[in-house]
Amino acid sequence: MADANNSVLVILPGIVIACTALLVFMADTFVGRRKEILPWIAAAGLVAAAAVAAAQWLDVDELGSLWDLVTGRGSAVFGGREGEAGFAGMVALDKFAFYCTLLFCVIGVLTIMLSDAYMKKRRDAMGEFYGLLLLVIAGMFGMAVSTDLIALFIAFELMSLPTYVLAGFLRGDVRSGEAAVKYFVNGAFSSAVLVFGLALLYAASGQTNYAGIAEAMSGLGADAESGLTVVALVFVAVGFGFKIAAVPFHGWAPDVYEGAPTPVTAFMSVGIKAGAFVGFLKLFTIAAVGLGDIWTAALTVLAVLTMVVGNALALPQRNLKRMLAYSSIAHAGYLLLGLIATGASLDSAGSSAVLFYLGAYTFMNIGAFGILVWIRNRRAFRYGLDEVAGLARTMPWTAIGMALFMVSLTGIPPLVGFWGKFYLFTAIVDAGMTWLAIVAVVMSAVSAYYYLRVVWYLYFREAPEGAEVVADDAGPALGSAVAVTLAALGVLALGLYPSPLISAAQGALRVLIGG
Amino acid sequence: MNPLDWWLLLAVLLFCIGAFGVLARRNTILVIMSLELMLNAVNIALVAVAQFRAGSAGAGVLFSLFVITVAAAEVTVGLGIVIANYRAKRTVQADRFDEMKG
Amino acid sequence: MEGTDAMKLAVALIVLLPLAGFIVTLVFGKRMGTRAHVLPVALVTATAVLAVYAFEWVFRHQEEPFVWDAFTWLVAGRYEVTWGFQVDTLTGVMLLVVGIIGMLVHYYSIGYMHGDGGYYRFFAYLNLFMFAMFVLILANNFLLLFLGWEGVGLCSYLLIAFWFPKKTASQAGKKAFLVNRVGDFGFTLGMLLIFVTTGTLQFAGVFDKAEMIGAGTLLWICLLLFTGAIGKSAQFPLHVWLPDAMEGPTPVSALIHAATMVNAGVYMVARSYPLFMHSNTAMLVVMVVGTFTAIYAAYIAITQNDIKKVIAYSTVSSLGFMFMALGAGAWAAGIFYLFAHGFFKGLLFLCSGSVIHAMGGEQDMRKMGGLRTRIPVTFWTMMVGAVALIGVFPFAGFWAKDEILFADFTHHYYVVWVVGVVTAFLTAVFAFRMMFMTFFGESRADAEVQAHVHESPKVMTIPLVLLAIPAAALGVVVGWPPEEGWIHTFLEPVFFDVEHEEFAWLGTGGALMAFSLVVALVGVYVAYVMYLKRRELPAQLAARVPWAYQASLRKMYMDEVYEVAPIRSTIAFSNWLWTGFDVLVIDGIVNGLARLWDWVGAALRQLQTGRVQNYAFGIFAGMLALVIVVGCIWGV
Repeated sequence: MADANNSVLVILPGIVIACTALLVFMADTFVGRRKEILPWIAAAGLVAAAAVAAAQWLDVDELGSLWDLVTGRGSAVFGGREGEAGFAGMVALDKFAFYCTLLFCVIGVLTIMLSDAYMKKRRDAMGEFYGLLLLVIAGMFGMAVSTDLIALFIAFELMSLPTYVLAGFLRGDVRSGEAAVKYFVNGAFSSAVLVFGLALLYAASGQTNYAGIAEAMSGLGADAESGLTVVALVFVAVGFGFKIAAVPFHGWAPDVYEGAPTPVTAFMSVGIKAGAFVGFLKLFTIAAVGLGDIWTAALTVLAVLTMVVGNALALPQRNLKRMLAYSSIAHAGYLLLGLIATGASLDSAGSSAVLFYLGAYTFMNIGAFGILVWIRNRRAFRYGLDEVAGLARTMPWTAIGMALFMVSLTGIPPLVGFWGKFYLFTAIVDAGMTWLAIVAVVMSAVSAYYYLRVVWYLYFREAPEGAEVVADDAGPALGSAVAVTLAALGVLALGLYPSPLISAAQGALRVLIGG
Repeated sequence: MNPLDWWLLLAVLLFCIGAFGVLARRNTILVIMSLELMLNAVNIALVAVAQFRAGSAGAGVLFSLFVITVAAAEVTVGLGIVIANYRAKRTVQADRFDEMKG
Repeated sequence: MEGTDAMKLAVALIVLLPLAGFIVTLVFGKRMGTRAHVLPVALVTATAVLAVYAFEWVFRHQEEPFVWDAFTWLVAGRYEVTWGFQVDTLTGVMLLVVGIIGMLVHYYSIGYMHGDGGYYRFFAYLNLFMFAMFVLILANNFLLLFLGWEGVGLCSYLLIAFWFPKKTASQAGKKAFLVNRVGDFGFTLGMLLIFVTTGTLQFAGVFDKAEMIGAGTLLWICLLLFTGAIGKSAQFPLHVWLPDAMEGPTPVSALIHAATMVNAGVYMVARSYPLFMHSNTAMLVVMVVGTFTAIYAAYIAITQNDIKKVIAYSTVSSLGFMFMALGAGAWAAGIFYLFAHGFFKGLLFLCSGSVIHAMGGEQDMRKMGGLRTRIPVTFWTMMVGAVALIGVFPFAGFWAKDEILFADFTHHYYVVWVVGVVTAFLTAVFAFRMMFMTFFGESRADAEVQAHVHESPKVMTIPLVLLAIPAAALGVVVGWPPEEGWIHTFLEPVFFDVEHEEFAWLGTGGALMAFSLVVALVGVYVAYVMYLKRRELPAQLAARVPWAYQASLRKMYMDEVYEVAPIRSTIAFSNWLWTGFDVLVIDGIVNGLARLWDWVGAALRQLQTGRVQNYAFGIFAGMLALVIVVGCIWGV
């Protein structure tokens, strides 16, 4: 992987996103009353970023093989060239980063659509909202491209800082403010732990570049597994574990998810998690590849705790937002299995399962939160489980959508959630840790209880007494409807035909891990 | 012990003092100050490694510059959040923010 | 292969027509009001015709099954799973059962569900069920089978809880769902294990490698698959959902909980014959579970007063019988029983529905009686069903049941044989207890109800008659002569390596046959004495005809014997099994597990204090603990 002639080209997608953010901030002051244009600018920026990333990959003569990708015959689009590094090896745009860029742009566009009715009520803050959102996505992009501890740290903070603000976006709302305080204090604390871990990793290896660290570590031989490396890797795992809400670093997640505006919650549960996982994956599978024993042990403990506690705490919840928050914790536990599988077997199957799952989870979870947003656009709604009772009668299509997402999150075929779990669990079994797969399967059986209880309420409970009240965020919400519909189509289509996404995910991993 | 270990020990101590501050102080402003202490512990470690570790790249110094920058940004955001909450709730006590739980 | 294109079209339509019916009815059904049934019923009729066509095709091509991989579902590295269908002789038999009974139940439902608020919803669900059931039996891989499996399950829960404003109905649906999760969980693990061991889920690929799987792994695979079957086919201890499932409308009980879905477990085990045949231990487990369930459920059926519950427990018992057959190595006999059972049990349920309909919704047999002349069609068809159930010559159940008992005996499972015979006896008792209490004697209903007793409309009685024909004649047609019958040669390509004994009329075979016939008749007689004669006949008879003295005396004798020891204790035991064991222990375990999780959740919630610094402390403590744990593991 040679350094590119022009390093800027390598991070061009990120630059496009960041510049769009600045554009949104500036346009905010010029557009006057026509603020509706701001989400369009933001979305256009994301599309442009995806296009830039694609253009760097797509050789014109390979256009014909796009069809091969669609029909699941291979990863032709991703198979074109090796990645290009930039800024003296601090960043690299490769197939992996390309997959992630596309994923992040999809997440971003869905979030923008989801927030339309929400933001129309808060027109004054539109510019800040979309600008900050784009900055977070630029940070996520940085996580995907960075191949150096310094770049990683910058990207991590770029992803985190605007999110603290987004969580507390509803100024004057006590819960939103509380969410921001909790997220900030815990987030900054764990960021400090992370960067201390990075410093110790630097101390152990003397390098900040991923490849350099791996080389230095293998040069140390048996000495590499010292107390210093254990502490360093655990600290790094804590930092990332916080962002993905792994137990016991999860305490903030339910409160923040509940308090933050719902579109932000949807974005955090999917986007931040994806960004953190991507960074996690790249750091551990490149830089710490020779130390797989250590971080696999640490992550195994985290994964078991996360799956068990996340599911157990989701059971008694009667607030849907909170229930989804805990279920999001549980899903982080399943995702960790993919990393563990890669660490234990040095096979890319686990990591590609993670990438696939992140894609699958995007549609399921944005869809699930999107339904909540949609209901709230139509009538008074405090996210209570009792409030959706009998919804099948009053809002049949909404109920079908909700049921679809719940069933997919449970992991029942033929929806995409099933394939996500299928690839993760087979990867962990192939890596020789069948017991972990059994724990995961048992835990998904438990999760069926609380997911399908929602379906139960939708279809087999009488609607609660009391007349319909005017909606809190009433108004036409075409964007959320489109976002939810797209998510539902994604869940269905990728469930019936997951091949393109999985072959893309596998292609993306080939650059990191041989095979 | 070689010099690096002493420096790292100092960093760990400072880090733990900062962590204690974050865990124990009830005043959010003091919590933010403790966070700064933790990040500065990291800076000491980074610079020490760059200076004393045999065969290390000099990137540690660069790294610490970025940490300082990010720390500044973090404080800005943190104080902003604290002030916004003070307006709504008239308090900066961390343990008063416990409306959501369970 | 000749005619495969037509066959492809037929198979595709069999699957797609009910699906289309479901979607259209769900979306537009409300607007069609009382005519909502037209499209679903028409489509299911077409499907039934196609199913018969497919059966006819396989009838002509018994040796080379129809296999069609419609399209690749997913390719991932070396793995491939398809949307693939196959029609072999086993599928052929299932197609007949599902297609024909499904169609008749649809017609019956037009009358039964008439005027119900959820009329269109009911037909939409029924069509969805047909779709899933066809996917289940036509699949050529475990994953597609599982998709159908979950699909029929979903429809089952939806239909059990169809009258969900009624608390018991929604509870019953929930219970069916939860109990089936346990079984499905086993099935999922079994599939995962198959996949990990053989690298494929296609039946052909898995079965080719069956011999190469290690004995231990194979046993686990079989047991896990069987766990799925236990849930779906309501075997002990996961049978508890089926009796409660009677909260659903009666056509549902007939179609899903007697004739088709509950057989899915039996079908799946039979389909996995190449796996089970290599694991004697697994076969033994299947047989023991089946045998125990058979007698256990038959015991309980004796004391039930709800007419549908009697038939429900009888179904559990019959399914146990099928597993007993499969486990004992009498594969064809088991499927034969499934085939016959589908018709006569479906018939019994539909008849009970007709009775309930006539009685204005009453299900308690203690408030029935004397209905024989009031609803003659229902009576006679139900009589055919009951006679077929208890296995009286020459009705359908006779041939199938007898082959199973014959196999138990000749394979030297004498204990199983004895249990089977006792079960047959108990079956005769409860079946005719039900008949006597419902149709004979004085009516015990309120005057108001009595005034309204009426025979069901034609749209309901004609399906009864049509079902009564196979229930009566099927056995002779496909099962004659015993052990050599058409069904055996037909199923031979599927169960390719089964040894079976010669059946000698003037030997063991004939003797066993005669014996089981006698047992069944004695059972009927016992029921007659106990539930009919003892009640009001004795006095009149004794006065009018002298020879009745004898009968009267013998009645006394019977009374003495039964009142004192066996009956009392039997009834007490049966009651205990139902109230004590079934309700308390097994339900208790299910509920207990749920409560345990609730408790764990509640306990962990305490840690979620809502305070920022407690969370930060969690991070810090977790970090330290992790360093110590990982450090200790690596001894650093």
